Amino acid sequence: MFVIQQLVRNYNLRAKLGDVLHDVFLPDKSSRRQSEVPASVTCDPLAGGQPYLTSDKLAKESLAPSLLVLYGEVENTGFYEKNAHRTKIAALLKYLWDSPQHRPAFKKVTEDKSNFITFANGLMNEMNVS
Amino acid sequence: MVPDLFELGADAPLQLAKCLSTTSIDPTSSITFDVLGKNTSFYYSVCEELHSQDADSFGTVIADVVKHITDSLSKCKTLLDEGPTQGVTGNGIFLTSALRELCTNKKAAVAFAKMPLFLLPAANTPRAAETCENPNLTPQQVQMAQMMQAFRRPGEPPVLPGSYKRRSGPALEDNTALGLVLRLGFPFPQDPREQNNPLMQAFSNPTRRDIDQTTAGFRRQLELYQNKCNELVKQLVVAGEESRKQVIQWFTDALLLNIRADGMRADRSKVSSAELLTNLSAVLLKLCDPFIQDPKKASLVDPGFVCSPESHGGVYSLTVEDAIPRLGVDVTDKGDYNPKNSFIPLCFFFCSRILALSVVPRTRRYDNILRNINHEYHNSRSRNDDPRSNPRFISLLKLQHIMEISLKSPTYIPDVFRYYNMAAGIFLQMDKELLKTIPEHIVYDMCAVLDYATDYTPKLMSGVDLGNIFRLTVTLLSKEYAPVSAICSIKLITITHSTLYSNHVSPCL
Repeated sequence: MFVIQQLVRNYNLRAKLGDVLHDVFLPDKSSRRQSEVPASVTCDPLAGGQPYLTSDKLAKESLAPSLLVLYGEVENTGFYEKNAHRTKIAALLKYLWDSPQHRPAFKKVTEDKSNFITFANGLMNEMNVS
Repeated sequence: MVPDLFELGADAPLQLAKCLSTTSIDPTSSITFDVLGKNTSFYYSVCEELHSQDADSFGTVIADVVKHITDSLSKCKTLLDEGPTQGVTGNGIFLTSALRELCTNKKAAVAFAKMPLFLLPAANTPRAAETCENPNLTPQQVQMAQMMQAFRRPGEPPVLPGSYKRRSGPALEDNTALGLVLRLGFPFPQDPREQNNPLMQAFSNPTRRDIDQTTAGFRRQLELYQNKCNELVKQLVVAGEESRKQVIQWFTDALLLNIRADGMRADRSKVSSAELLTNLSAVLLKLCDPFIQDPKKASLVDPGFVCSPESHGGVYSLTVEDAIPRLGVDVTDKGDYNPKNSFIPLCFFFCSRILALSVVPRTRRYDNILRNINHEYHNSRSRNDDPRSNPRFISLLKLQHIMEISLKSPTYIPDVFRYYNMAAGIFLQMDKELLKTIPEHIVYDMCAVLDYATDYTPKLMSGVDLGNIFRLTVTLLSKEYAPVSAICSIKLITITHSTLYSNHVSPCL
C-alpha cells in the first residue's frame, strides 16, 4: 500500500482533476445541472458511444477507489473549496454506484477494511460537523 | 545600390517595401507571384541576383526594406488602425503580409533574422539594463512622476509612466521586428470610460445580434492576421538553421521576460501585452499542428527537454526564484538529453508555457469580468435602477465582448483543446520517473481550460476528441499516483471502529 513515488503531490491539482471528470465527462442525464457539453465529448466513439466513465477499462478498475480517496484529500484544499469539490465527487460517485460496471470496484474497496472504515469515519465526522 | 547611376532607384527599398505590402491585394499581379512555377517570381529573381552580386549589400537592402515596414507597423496600435499615410501604407494585416512575402526568399529571410532589430539585447549586458522612455508623455505625467520620486529610495532613478527596460516584455513588442508584428489585436482601452475608442464604440449597440456580428467580424480579422503571423514565422523557421535559431531565441526571450504575465493584474512595465502573448500562442499552436495531427510525430516529444537547461534556455529552470514546479518532487537537471528531433520537443514545451501565460490567465480574467458584471447588475437592481444606465456596467459588458473575440474563437479554442489532448496522450506513454519531471502547470492548465470551456464555450468542444485527457485524469487520480502523505495518513490511522463496517456498511453491499 505504501507508495514510493511522489507524483501529483498537489492536492489542488488532484481536486481539479476530479472537477474535470465531473464537468466534462459526467453524462448530462446523471446530474441535476444542465450541462451543454456535447455528448461526443462525454462518450467514447470507439466503445459504441458509451460514456468514458463506464466504458474505459482503467476507469472501471480504479476510478471508484480513487474518488473515495480524493473525497478525503480535498479536505486540504480549504473550507469553502472542499465543499464544491465534494459536491462534484459525490455526483460522480453516485453515477458510478448506479452503473453495474463499477460495482466490483466498490466491493473491492470494502475488502480493504481498515481504509474503508477510515473513509466511513471521515464521512460520519463531516456529517456531524455540518 | 548606386543612386547616382539609377536615380529612380534612390528609394528602391521603400519601393520594394510598398510592392510587398500590396501583394495580398492582388496576388496574381504581385512581384512575389511565381509566374512559371516555383521560384520564378520577380522578387525571387531580384533577391538571387542581388545576393550573387554582393551578399553584404543584399543584407543592407533587406534591412532597409524591413525598417520601412516596421516603422509603419510601429504606428499601428491595434488591428483597427488604418496605418500610416506616408511611407509604406496599409493596416497591420497588410504590413505583416509584407514581411511574410519578404521571407518567401530564404536568403532574404535569413538576412531579416540576422538584423540587430530582430532580438533584444542579451541578458546581463549594460544595454539590457538601459531604460527606454515613453516619448508620448504629457507634461502632467512627467510632473506626477517627479512628485512620486519623493516616495522612492534616495539615489533610485525616476520611473516615468510607460518607461521600461531595454530587455523587458514591453521592449520585446516595441523594439523587435517579431514583437511589432505579433503585438496587434483588440486590446482593452486604457480607460474603459473613453467614449472615442473605436473598439468600445463598436460594442455600443445594445442588441445581441449586432454584437454577435461585430464580434464575428473582428474575429475574422484576427484570424486572418494570425494566419499571416503563422506564415511569417513558418517561413523564418524553414529558411535555414541561422534564422531558426534566431526565432527560437526570440521565443525563449518572450517566455523568460513574461514569466509574471499570468497574474490577474500583470505589471505592464515588465511584461508584454496580452495580445502579443495570445498571438504567440496561436503561432506556436500552429507550429505544433503537424504532431497534433500525427501521433507518430508526437512520439518524438522527448520529456528530457524540461530537464536540459541548454535546450530550454532557462524557460523551465529548476534553480531560479521563478522555478516551475513539477508533478513530482526531487527533480533535477540532467545532462544527457539527445532527442531524435530537437525542434518538436521545443515547440511542444514552449507552446505549453505560452498557453500558461496567455489563454489560461485570460480565462481567469474573463471569469472575473463576468463576476463583476453580475455584481454591478445586482447592485443596480437592488437600487431599483436600470443597469443599462450604469456606466460601469456598460463598460464591463464591452470589455466582456472584447475578450470574447479571441476567447470564443471557433478556431483558436478548439486548437487549445486538441493540443492538451495530444499532450495527455504523450504523458500517458511516459513511465512514472519521466512523468514526475513534467511541469505541473501543464496538467493544471489543461483542467483550467476545460473548466472554462464547460462554463462558457461548451459548443466549441463538439467534435474534439478528449479521450486522452480522460485517461490521463483517471491515471493521475489513481492510488498509484496519489501523494505519499495521503496514502500514509489513511494507512497509519489506528482503526477503532471496526464494528461500524461489519454491522452497518457490509450488509448494504
